[in-house]
Amino acid sequence: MSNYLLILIIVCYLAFLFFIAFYAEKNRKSKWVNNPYIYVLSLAVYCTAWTYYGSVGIASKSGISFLTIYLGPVIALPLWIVIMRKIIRISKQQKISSISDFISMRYGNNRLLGALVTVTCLLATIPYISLQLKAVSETFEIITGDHSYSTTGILDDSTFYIALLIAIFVAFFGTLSTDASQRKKGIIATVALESILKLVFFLVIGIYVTFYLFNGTGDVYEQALQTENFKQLSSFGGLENGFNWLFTICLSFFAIFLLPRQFHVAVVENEKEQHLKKAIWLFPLYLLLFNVFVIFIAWAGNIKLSENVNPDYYTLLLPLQEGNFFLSGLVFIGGFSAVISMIVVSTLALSTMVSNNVIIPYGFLKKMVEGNPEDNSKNIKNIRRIAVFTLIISAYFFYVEFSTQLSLYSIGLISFVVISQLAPSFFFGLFWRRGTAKAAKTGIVIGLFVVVYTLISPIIVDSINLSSAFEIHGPFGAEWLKPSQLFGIDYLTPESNAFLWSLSFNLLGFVSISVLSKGNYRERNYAEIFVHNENYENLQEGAFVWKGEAYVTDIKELLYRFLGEKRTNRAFNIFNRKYNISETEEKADARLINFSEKLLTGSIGSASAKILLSSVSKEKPISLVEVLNILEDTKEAKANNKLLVEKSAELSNMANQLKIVNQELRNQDKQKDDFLDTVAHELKTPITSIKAASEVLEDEAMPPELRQQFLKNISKDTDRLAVLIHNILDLEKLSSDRAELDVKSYKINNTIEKAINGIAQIANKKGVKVQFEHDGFLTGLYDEDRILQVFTNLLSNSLKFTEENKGVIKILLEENDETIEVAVEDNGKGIPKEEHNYIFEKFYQSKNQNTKKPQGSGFGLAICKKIIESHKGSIWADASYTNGARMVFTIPKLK
Amino acid sequence: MKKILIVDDEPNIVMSLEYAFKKKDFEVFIARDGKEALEIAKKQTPNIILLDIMMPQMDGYETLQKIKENEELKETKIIFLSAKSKLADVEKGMKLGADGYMTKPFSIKKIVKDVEKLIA
Amino acid sequence: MKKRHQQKLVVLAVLLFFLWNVPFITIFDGDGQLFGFPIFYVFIFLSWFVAIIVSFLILKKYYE
Repeated sequence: MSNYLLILIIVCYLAFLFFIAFYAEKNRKSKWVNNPYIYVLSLAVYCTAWTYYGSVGIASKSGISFLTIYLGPVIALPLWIVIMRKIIRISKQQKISSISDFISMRYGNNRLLGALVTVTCLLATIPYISLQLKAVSETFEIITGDHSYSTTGILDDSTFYIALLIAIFVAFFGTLSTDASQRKKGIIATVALESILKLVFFLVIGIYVTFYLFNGTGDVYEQALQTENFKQLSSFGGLENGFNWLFTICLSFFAIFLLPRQFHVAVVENEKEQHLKKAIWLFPLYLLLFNVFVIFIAWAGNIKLSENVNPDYYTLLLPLQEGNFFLSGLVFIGGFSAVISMIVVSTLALSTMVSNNVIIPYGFLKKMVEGNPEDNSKNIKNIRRIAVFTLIISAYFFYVEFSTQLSLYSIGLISFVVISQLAPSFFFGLFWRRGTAKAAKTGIVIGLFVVVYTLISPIIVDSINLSSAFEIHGPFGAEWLKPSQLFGIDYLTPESNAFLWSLSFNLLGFVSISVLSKGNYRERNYAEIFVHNENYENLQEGAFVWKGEAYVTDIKELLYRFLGEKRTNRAFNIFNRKYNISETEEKADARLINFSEKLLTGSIGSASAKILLSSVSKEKPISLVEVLNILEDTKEAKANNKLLVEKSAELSNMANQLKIVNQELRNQDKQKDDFLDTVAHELKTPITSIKAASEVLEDEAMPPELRQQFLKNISKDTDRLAVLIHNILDLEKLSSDRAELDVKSYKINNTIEKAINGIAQIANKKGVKVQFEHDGFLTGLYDEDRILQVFTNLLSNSLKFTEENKGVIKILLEENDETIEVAVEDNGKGIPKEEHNYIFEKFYQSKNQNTKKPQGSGFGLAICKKIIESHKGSIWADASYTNGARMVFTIPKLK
Repeated sequence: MKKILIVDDEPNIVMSLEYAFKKKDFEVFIARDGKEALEIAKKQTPNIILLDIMMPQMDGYETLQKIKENEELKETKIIFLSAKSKLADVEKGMKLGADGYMTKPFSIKKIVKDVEKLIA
Repeated sequence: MKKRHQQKLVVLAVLLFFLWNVPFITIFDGDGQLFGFPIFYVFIFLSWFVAIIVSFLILKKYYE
């Protein structure tokens, strides 16, 4: 393939990435850029050129050890539910923008520690970036078949230009905001996209090799069996190798937390804590897919390709050998994606660290305090941009100087060993309150020293061709100091050896100094906030202990310089409202100090923020006991406050309930009034009649037959009064559940016969037929007298509303699972539809209060309803029956 | 002869009233509800109507309004008879243009006296 | 997510750590193959996959 064509492809691809990043920044809120899958894919920045090319190289030469790089993260991911969640919560709360911010904040915003962590990250990352550049340059050579570029000088080297383009990309999209804790949607979107590309293309080449060049996995295996040393490639090796295996797993376990780019994508760019839910299982799946075909590509390369090609690039060489340029082009783009995403995220994270933890706190702070906000923001951005370019260019030079003699795998592992020096202060810092800044610094320095001695010095010595006596016999001829076999342990690989000793000394230093000396109050304060994060989550600024004097105006003025007047005032308004502080308050309290520190931390890092704020405030020494007491107090105050809130919620809840009850009582009162009105009206009618008749009877001239009639009327009305009063009392008794039921098992058929007998005389007189059809006896559980009352009521209603000599009343029985259903139907005038719902209401008065209710349905049906309900049954008027009225009720059946 | 129309759905009450007014030489007409009352009133133009309020179908208030609408019944006096004894009910009745309001239970003697006074 | 359910994931991680290190891992360090995968890889990939399924199920059921 011509190199111009390849350059064209690269430029097009980069332009495409620019477009994607631009689009994502423009649509920051879109769900395309804010979903858990983007988060998971961005984590896959872990898979660099090392994974893409290096794994195959290892699998083809030394066997299984390529897996360790992925097994560590796979073991780590389930732990994320505890560890990563805690880290994310703390970081969001404290506006942390990098791992060095995280560690230095934990140890009391220690400036030197932040710088030290940054240096460690630089040491680990620059060679790592150069490894990526090496991969680009070498694959470029393989594809174009051109071997001259790396040797003709920098300006002719296409890798140099590619590095510059990447630097421009990061410098542009990485510094859109001065606040480094602000998420960079554009960059993350491209990283996620590239993670898809590299995986898909790797799977494509895997399938191509296994199923196109060979007849499936079995075939590759069979043929590979014939190659030399095959047994070694597919087995674990001796127990001693078990230590190398274990240490490399530990290395990758730490790396997934500590690598600046991993911390950046997992913590700083985390949009929602809930994204962990997907990441914990999906990320291991991603890694699994990436590893399935590695061995087959490696074996296929061993079978098909000559021994003197670099096994790292089997993925490219295999399709090239078949003349498949398209496929090797795809593989190249996949590898290129892996490279770009790694470099982009790493330089982004590192540039923030370099600017916030080294350059600003050590150099620019004074200048910035005097500058105006626009200049400061521009300066901060420029510092980061320059850092980006410097980083990438240093990586390029490192590549030019050193990388020819190192494989992808070993550079990668060196980075892992270096970064793992942060592990003691990082992990212990999360769970152990005791750890101090001094201990962290000591541990890291010792660890780095051991790494340099055991791992890096031999390489340097090698590359500058000094006498190798130092390497073979140790310094001053002391064999036990031999760098790669410290203390005479000779079965470890150089990386495992370096890991073991550096981490041992590091840990020893960290733990012993932590135990021997106490940290100052600030360290203790942050230790408490970090370790017992769950206690202080809701306290926010309140968890910060500070004693001293500071003036709000001074702090405001300081913030103006970095955030500008508008943002500062807005932030202060929010703060004052949140804590209910008067705007005229002159003195600043601990919460304001912490709040301002956090505001500044995003822009200039935590260490600088602390330095700046202490420049405008007079901090008073405070004892550790006081710190813990104050923390305890704030926690309690918060708890009390929470209790108060709960109590007040309870009270308002009760008030609401009271309101409801009151309303109910009022309704009942109204119903009672209505009821009394109705009762009064019902009573007044016969009384009026009696009174009128007795007045008329005073007339002595009245004919005797008429007199008889009036006397009879009086008697009838008196009876009517008596019945009314009885009914009212009965209804009240039933309503208040005072009526005792005498429930026994009865044959319902007999009860019905009794009821019919009771009204037979009146029915005969009116010429109304009463029919009861049944084909079997049913036994129910009820109070017979009460149910008889119901039947009598229903039957006399039917009698009232049916026509003389034409009326037919039927009683029907039906058996249900648990109940007996009784229907009383007639062919009378029926009940108007709109009355169906009301006829059973004792207090009901139809809408037009001056019209009389249908005759006879006064209290009778209300009483029926109460009786049936006290039998746990129900009663209703069947609306579907149109031939007259049909009343149905249910009573319990004997089981 | 003076004409009186008694409107009530309680036959026992009507019977007493009928006897009392016949005794005073009134020509007595009886209606069981509002509709019947209107028809009889139009036909007979009674001097006075005793009107119950709570009746089936058409209530007393409505009946009164319909009667008042009729030009020929302008001279007819109307007295409400009702168990509704609240002040508000009485006021409502009077506002509609009734000439009297008797709450149940009432005294027959007093009604007769009031009626005689009204149409004297 | 309740502490009890978080601990299930922690146990899974610990289990993987022991499973993938000596001495356990040497149990599968033998000859033989399945679909072209040497028995060692079969063990690693299979336990890897099972771990994914298990954590998926735990998270699906208990993550609030």
